[in-house]
Amino acid sequence: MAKTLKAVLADAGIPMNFQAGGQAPDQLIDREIQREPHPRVQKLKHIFMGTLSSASNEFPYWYTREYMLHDNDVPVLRRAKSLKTAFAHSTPVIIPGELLTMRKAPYFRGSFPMPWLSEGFYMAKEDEFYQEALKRGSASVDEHSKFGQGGGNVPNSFGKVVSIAGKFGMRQEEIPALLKLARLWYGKSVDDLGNRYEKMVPGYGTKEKIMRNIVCMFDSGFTLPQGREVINYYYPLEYGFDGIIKIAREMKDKVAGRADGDGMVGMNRLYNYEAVIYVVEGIQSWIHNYAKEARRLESLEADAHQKTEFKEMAERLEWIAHNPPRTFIEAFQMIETVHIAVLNEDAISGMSPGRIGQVLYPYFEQDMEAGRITEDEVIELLELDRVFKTSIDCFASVGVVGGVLSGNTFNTVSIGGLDKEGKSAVNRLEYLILEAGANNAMPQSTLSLLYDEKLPEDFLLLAMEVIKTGAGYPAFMSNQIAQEFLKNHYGHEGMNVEDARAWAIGGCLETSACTWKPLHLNGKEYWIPGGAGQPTSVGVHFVSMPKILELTLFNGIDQKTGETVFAPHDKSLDTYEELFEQFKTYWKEAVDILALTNNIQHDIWRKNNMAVFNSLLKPDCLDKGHLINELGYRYNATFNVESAGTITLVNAMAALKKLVYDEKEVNLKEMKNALKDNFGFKTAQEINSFSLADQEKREDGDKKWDKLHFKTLQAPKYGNDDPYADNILLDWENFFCPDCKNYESLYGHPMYPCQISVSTHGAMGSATIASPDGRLAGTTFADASMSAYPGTDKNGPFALLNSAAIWDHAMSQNSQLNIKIHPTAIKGVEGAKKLLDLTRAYMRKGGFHIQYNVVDSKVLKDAQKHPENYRDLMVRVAGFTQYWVEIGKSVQDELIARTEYEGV
Amino acid sequence: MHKSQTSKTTTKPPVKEFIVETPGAMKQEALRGFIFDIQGHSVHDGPGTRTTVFMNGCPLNCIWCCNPEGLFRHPVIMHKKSKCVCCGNCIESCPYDAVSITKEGNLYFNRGLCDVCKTHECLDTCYHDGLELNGKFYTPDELMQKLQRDRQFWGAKGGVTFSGGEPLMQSRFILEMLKRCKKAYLHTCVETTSCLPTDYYMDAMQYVDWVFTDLKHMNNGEHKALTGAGNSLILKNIETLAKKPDWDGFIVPRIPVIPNLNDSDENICATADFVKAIGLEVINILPFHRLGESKYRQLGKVYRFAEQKPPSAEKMCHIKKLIEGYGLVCFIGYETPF
Repeated sequence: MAKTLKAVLADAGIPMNFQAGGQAPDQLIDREIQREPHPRVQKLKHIFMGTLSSASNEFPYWYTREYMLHDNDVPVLRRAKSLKTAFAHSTPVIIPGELLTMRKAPYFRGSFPMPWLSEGFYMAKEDEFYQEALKRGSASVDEHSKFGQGGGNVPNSFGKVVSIAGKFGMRQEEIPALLKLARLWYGKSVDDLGNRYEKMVPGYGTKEKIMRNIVCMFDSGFTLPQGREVINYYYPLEYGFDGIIKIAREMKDKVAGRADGDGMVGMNRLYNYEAVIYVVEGIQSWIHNYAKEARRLESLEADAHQKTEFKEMAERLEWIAHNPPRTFIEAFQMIETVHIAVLNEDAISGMSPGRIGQVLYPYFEQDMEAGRITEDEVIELLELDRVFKTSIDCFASVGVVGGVLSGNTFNTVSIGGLDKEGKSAVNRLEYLILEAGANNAMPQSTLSLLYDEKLPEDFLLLAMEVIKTGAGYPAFMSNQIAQEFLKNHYGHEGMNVEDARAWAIGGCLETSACTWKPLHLNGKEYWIPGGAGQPTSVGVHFVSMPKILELTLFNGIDQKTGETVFAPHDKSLDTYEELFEQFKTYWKEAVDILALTNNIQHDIWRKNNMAVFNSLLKPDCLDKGHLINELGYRYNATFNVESAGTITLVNAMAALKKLVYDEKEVNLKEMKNALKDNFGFKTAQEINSFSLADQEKREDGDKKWDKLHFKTLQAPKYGNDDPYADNILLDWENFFCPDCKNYESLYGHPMYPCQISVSTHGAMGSATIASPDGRLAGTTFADASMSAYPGTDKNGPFALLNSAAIWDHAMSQNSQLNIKIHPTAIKGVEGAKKLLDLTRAYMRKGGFHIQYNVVDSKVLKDAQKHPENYRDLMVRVAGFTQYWVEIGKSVQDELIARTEYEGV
Repeated sequence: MHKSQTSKTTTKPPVKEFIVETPGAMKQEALRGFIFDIQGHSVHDGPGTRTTVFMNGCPLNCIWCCNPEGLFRHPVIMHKKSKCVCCGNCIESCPYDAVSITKEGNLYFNRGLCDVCKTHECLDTCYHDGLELNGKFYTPDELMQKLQRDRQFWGAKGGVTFSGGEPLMQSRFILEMLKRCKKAYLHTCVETTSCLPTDYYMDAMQYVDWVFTDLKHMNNGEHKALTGAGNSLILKNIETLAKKPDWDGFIVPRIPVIPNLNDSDENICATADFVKAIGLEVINILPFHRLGESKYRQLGKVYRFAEQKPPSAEKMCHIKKLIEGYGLVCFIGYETPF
C-alpha cells in the first residue's frame, strides 16, 4: 500500500500535528523570525543608532605627557607609566539604563588616535609630513578606500566637527591639540622609526613600490600591531587585580638580579613585573573613577529604581577593582572592563572575546542554582553586551579601517567546539548567546560556531534559525580542520590535541591558538578556554594576486601608474608553465621583501610599544616574567602571509590557459592589448560602480574586443565543479601553503597562509586593470578566498562547494566562503534543517568556513538608493557583519552582485 | 574485428541527430536523456534537500505551463533580450535567414526555421550572452556522476527528483535512471502528469519513492480544453497506483490553482472527493505564478497569462478549508512539513 502521511512524517522525525478538518488560519502565516530586544536594550540601541563615531584627545594627551617625562627609564617602564597615567585620567561616562559599563573614550561611540604608532595620516593633508607619507606609499591605499557615507561614520566635516581618518568626528577646538600631539611623535612613532630601519633592507625600494601600487594593502606593525587573536580573561577572573599585583610582587622578589640561565633577557623579568604592577594600578584607578561616577549619578538620581541600579553598579565596580568576581554580572562586568582596557592599550582590531559562553559558565551555573539570576536576566545582559561591543570603534587610517575592515572591530565570540576532554563544549549559556543574538541583531559580537559532529542537533538548528534573522551570524567553522592546522603549525611549540581543542576565532576568521586554565569558584573547578598566542594576521598583509599577475604579464610594470614595480623578467611567457613559474617568482619576491620590512616594523613596536596588559593576561607571561616581546606567550608562530583575490587569479589563469595556451584562440600580445584597453569599456571609477554587471562601454570604443571579452567570460570558471579551473586552485594552494614556511617572522618562527579578503577585494580591485577572466578595470575582486566570482557559479551551490573542497583546508589558517541565500530558500523549520544539511555536508567534505547572507538582492539595491530607510540593515561582508550604510560602495556593489541562491 | 567496429560507432554518436524516445520506442542509439535543467539545492520538490532533473517532453500542453522550454525535443535557441545589444552578428551568421531586425529595432527569430535548426551558427557569433542553447544530452553515466556528487550535500532525507516536462516521457532513459538510483540507495521522486500508458506507468513507479501528481481539472472536457488531453487515463493511473498492494511509496496530489480556470468550489470539492475515495490523505495546492513569463519571451512565444495575478492568500485559505472539510490534509504552496 502507498505510504501514509503519518508514516512519512514519522520517518522524517516530525510529529503528526496537522489538524485535518480543523481550523485553518485565515492568513498565510509568515513563519520567519523577527525578534525584539528587552526595552532597556532597545533604548540604548536607539541612542547608538543616532550616535556618530567620535574621537577624543584625552588618552593620547596623558599618555604623551607622561611618556615625555621618562626618557631616562627602561622602555617597558616608560610605557607602563604612560599607560597608567592615561588610564587613571580617562573621564568616566555612564549612560543611564546600562548595566555593563566602561568605555574607550568619553563618548558613547568614542575612540582616540595613538600617535605613538603612526602620526602621519591625520595630519592636515597639506602638511609636509603628510606629503612625505604619501611618497612612502603607505598613504596611497587611503586613496582607494572609501567609507560608507552613512550610519555612524563622519566622512565629511560639518559645523564644528572635523572629520578625521574618513570616519571619526572630532571637536574643532581639539584639532590644534591633535596636531601638536602628532608633531611631538614625528620621527619617534613606530611608523617613522620603523621606516628609518626598514630602509636598510636590501631591495627596500621594491617594497615602497609594492605599497604605492597596492600590490600589498598595509603594514601591520604600526597600523594594527595587535588583534586577530583571542583574549584571555582567566587571571583577573581567578585572582582579581589585587591578586595579579600580589603575584607580580612575589615574582619580582624571586627574579630581581637573577638571569636564571638566560643571559639575553633573563634580567628583564624584574622590569616586566614592575611594569605589570604599574599598568594594573592604572586600570584599578580607572575602574574606581567609574565607581565614583556611578556614586555621583546615584546621588543625583530621583528615580528609585535607577538609583538602585547606579548603587549596585558602583558596588560591583568597587569590588572588581580589587577582587575576583563572585556572580555572573560581576564576571561579565570584569570581562568587559578587561576587554576595553586591552583595546585602549594599543591600536587593535579583532581582539576577540573567544568562547565567553564557556568562560562565564561557572558563574551562570552557580547563580542559576542559587536563584540569584534568571535566564531572562542573562539574555538581557547578553543583549546589552551586543550594544556594548558594537559601540567600540577602532581608530586607524582610512585605508586600514575603511579599506580593509569596513569599520569593523571583530569582537568575535565563538560558540560550540569541544571541551578539554574532547566532549561537546556546548552549554546552556551558549543557547542564550544565540537567543540574544537573534533578539538584538547588531554587528558585534559576530558569532562563530566551531562546528563538530559532536555538537547537539538542536543547538545547530537554533543557530540556523538565528541565521534566518538575516543577522549574518553565526558563521560555521570546522573544528576538526582547525585542530589539524593548529597541531601542524604549532607542533614545534608544543601544541597538543588538548590545547588544540581550546581554539577559538580571533578576528573575523583567524584560527587562534588557545589553552585551558582551571577556574575556581566556591570550591568547584572549571577548565576554561582562553587565548595563549600572539596576534595573527600580522606580517605580510594582503598581497593582491591579480595585481601580481598584471605585473607578470607586463614585465613588472604596473599598468595603472606606469611604474616598474619588479625588475623586468624579459621572458616571452610562451607556455602556461612559464607564466605560472614567473608569477610565483614575483609572488615570492613580494612576500619576501614584505616579510623582512614588516619584521622590522614589528621589532620596533616590540622594543618601545610592547603590550603589557594584554601580555599579562595570556599564558604563560605571568609565570615566565616575559611579555609578548620576549616570547612570553605560549604560542608565538603567529605571523602569516595573507592573500587576496584568489579566485580572480584562478579564473584569470584558467582563461589564459584555455584561450592563449591550449586553444590558441588569441595570442598573449593581443590579450594584453585587450586588458590595457579594458576590453573597450570605461573604468569603474568613471561610472562609480564597482560591479562587473554595471560596467559601460566607451562611446568611442569600437567593437574589436567584443569577441575576446565574451570568450574570456565564457572560459572555465572556479565554482562549477569543473576540473579545468579547480585544478588551478589546487596547484596554487599546493604551492602557496608550503611556501609560506620559507619566510621567518621576527620571533624566529615559520609563517603560514591566511586566506581571507576582509574588504581588501574592493580597494585592491579598484587599483587593478582588467584581468584575463573578463573582469574589468577597477571592479572588485571575488570576495574571500573560496567564494565564486559573482555570477560565474552557474551550477548551483553543490558544484561551488565541491570546487571549494578540492584542496586540503587544514594546510591554511583558514579559508572563506560566503554564500548569499534568498529568504525563501530556507523558510520554515524544514528550511533550517536543509540549510544545516548543506552546511554539514561542506564541513564533512573538508571545508573550513561557510557563512550566509540571507537577504533579497532587491532589498540591497533599494538600500543603496534610499540609505535613510535602512539604518539598521545588516549584511555579512567577508567574515563579519556590518551595517549596510557604513560600508564603502565598492563592497556594497560586490554584495549585490553575489550570486543569490533561491530555493527551487 | 566486428567488435571494434561496433564500439567505434557507439563512441561516436551522430552529433547532429537528436532523438527523444517516446514510450515503447526502441532505438539502437546510445542511450541518452534530453534534459533542460539540473538544479542542485532544490528544497521544495520532495523530502529534504534534493537535486531536481528537468526532463524534456510532455504529453500535455497546459496553457499556463511555466516551463515552455520543456516541451521541445531537441536543443532550442533562447534569446535573452535583456543582454542582447542588437549587434546583428546572429543575422549575418544564420544560414537560413531565420533572424531579422524589426522596424522597432528588435531582433525577430522566425521560429518555424529556428526551432528546427541543428547547427546553431549564431551561438558562436554572439558575444553578449544574448543567445543560449537550451537542453543538453546526458548518458546515464554522466547523470549518475552528478547525482553521486550532489548526494553528499543533500543530508539524510534528500534525493533526486525527476521533473519536467513529463519525466517519464523518455521511457528507456528514465527507467534506466530509476533503476540505477535504487541500486545506489538514492531516494527518488517524480513530478508527473500521470498521463502515460498504465502498464508503463506502473512499471516505472516500482522504482519511485514519492510521486507528486497533478490533478489539473476533474471535468474531462475542461481538462482537455486546458491541457489538450482528457483526464480519464490520469485518474485511472493514480487510482491504480494508490491501490497497488505491493507499492509502498507516497503520493501527493497537487492542484495548480489557476484563477477562474480550475479554482471553483465545485472543482476543488470534486478533486477532494476523488483523493479521499482512493484512500489518499493529502493535497498540495500550488498558487499560479508568472515565473515562466520571461522564458516565453526568450522562445518567441506569446504568454497568455502575462496579466494574470496569482490567487489571493484568502482564496488559497478558502480552498484549503474546503479540502480540510473532507478530512484531508492540505498544504499551500511550499509550506510543507518535508
